[in-house]
Amino acid sequence: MKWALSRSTVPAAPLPLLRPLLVGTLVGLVVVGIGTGAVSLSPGQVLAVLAEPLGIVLPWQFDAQQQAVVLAIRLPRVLLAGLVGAVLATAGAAMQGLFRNPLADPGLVGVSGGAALASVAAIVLGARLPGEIGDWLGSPVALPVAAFVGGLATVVLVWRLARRDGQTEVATLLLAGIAVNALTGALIGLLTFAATDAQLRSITFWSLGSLSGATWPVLAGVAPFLIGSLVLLPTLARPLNTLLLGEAEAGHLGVDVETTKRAVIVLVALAVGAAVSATGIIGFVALVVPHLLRLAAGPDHRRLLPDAALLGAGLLLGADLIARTLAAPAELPIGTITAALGTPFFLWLLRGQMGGSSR
Amino acid sequence: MIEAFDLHLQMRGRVLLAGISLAVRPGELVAVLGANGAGKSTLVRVLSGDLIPSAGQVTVAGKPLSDWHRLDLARQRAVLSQGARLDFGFTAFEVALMGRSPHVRTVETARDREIARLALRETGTEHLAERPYPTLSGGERQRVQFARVLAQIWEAPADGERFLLLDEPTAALDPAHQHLTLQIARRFATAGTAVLAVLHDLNLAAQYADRLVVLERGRLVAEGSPQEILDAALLRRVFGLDALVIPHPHLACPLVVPLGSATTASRND
Repeated sequence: MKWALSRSTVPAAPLPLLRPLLVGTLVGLVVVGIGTGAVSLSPGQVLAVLAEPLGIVLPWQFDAQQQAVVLAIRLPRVLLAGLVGAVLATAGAAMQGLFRNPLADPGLVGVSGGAALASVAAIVLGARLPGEIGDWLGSPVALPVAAFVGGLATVVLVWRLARRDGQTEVATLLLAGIAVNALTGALIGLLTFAATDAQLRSITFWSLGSLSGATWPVLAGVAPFLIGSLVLLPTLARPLNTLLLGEAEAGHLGVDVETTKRAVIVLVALAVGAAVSATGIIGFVALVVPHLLRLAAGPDHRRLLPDAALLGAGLLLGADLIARTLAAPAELPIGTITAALGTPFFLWLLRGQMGGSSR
Repeated sequence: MIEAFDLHLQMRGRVLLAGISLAVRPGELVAVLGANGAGKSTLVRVLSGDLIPSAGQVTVAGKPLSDWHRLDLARQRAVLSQGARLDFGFTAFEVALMGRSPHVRTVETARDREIARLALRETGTEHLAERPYPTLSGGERQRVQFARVLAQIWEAPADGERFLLLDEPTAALDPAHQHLTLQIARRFATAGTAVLAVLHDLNLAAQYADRLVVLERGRLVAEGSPQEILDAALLRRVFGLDALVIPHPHLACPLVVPLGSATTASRND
């Protein structure tokens, strides 16, 4: 892949093959991801297993164990990784457009933290509170809902904190993120005192991010939210483009600015909330993916949002593959992989931003 | 016609506009003049609907701003604000093309792209079309933004007028491009557009505007053609400027020859 990784915001020469390249990479990673693990399958076998329920018989042979592993374990995991990656990257791109700032990452500014806090609170309090409220909070449906509410509350909070006169200052945005992350971290820590041992393990999972909880029921619980935001966010691409010119300018171009902002905020909270409730906090995907794509193909959200979904899905599938194989049979938390890859990138981006702001 | 009726605006206890009434008629270029902080930009923001006045009303084509559907308004009225910031790497052409967005249903048509191209040519920025906006100089950015605004109202709607509000369109431009910008505004006015522009350069205003509106501390203190109202007494009182006002040797307008700041000598006398 030819990424023009220069500090400037110059998009490289138009890449007509970008979309097919992203789709091809994604399909390849899905097949490899399904085939890789303690029980391994060749790409042909993977295709044969997947085709069988559709009534198509492919020439590759597989045994019952391979089939069971793919259908019960690998497939939901790969689907969840792909969906969550796609949603995080798309939500990140939309949020950066909304804040008019390429550093607005749901993890950095605390939205993921807020969603995680609400999820942990639902788990811990669900077991403590008596009666119907406790029962409901303990149910699987409550998690995405709680994470959405937590995410929404933090986006609104950061939005209020970081903006002055329609502009988002980088420093204020990051400081607001630090404050919110510190608060949610502390509150999650506080909740661990009230948690049982089993709950503690899952709380660790929230803060580091992991796909190990991927099962069909978990996937079924969050998929509607993930797919919904994935479908709806790109419909806001044109108003988001004009918002980059400024809120007043967008208004003068006939965009209903307030409605657009609210829709983006709600959809981002929905997307990040659902993603966090299923996989915990997976950082930097939302920061790195849109930025790379802007370098490659420019900032037009009509291209950017679908491309971000494709690359985000691919990136998280790749990261999950590394997380599962690097220390096999043990499994690394995927959040540590994305953080290790994303932090240097973030610092490089921050340098460019801070340097550029004196323009 | 854009009309303002007795506009008042107070913010945080400060009076920004006090009783301003004005009208910009089709085919007319009105320049708003005033010292720093006189309320010129505030007036444009109220006229464009960005700020809601504490009292008074703005109408466009006889209809109060709040009664307009925002897309209908955007198809006839364009606003060039001051200091529009864009940090994302759209090309100059893409920025100009965004001016067409109120006219676009799903995708930009060939005509929209042609208009964006023509608007860039008009403002002398066609050669920058493929350059990313953040890499342009301040003056180039301003001209590209001007092209975007022109593209927005490039064609007169079948059943309506066009309106153009410009807040310091020449602020970052070299002299030749200042004149180019006002020549374009003049052409739009001649084609029937009602144009209002905030200007700092008194001679640009004298040369291109049909009428001047002079603000001082949120009040309208003088209004009329350049010949009628531009004189040494006004310049001293409103701008604190010592100046000669003489007939222009080549053009049919007054010429302001600044001599120096009047503030040290006899301000507030």
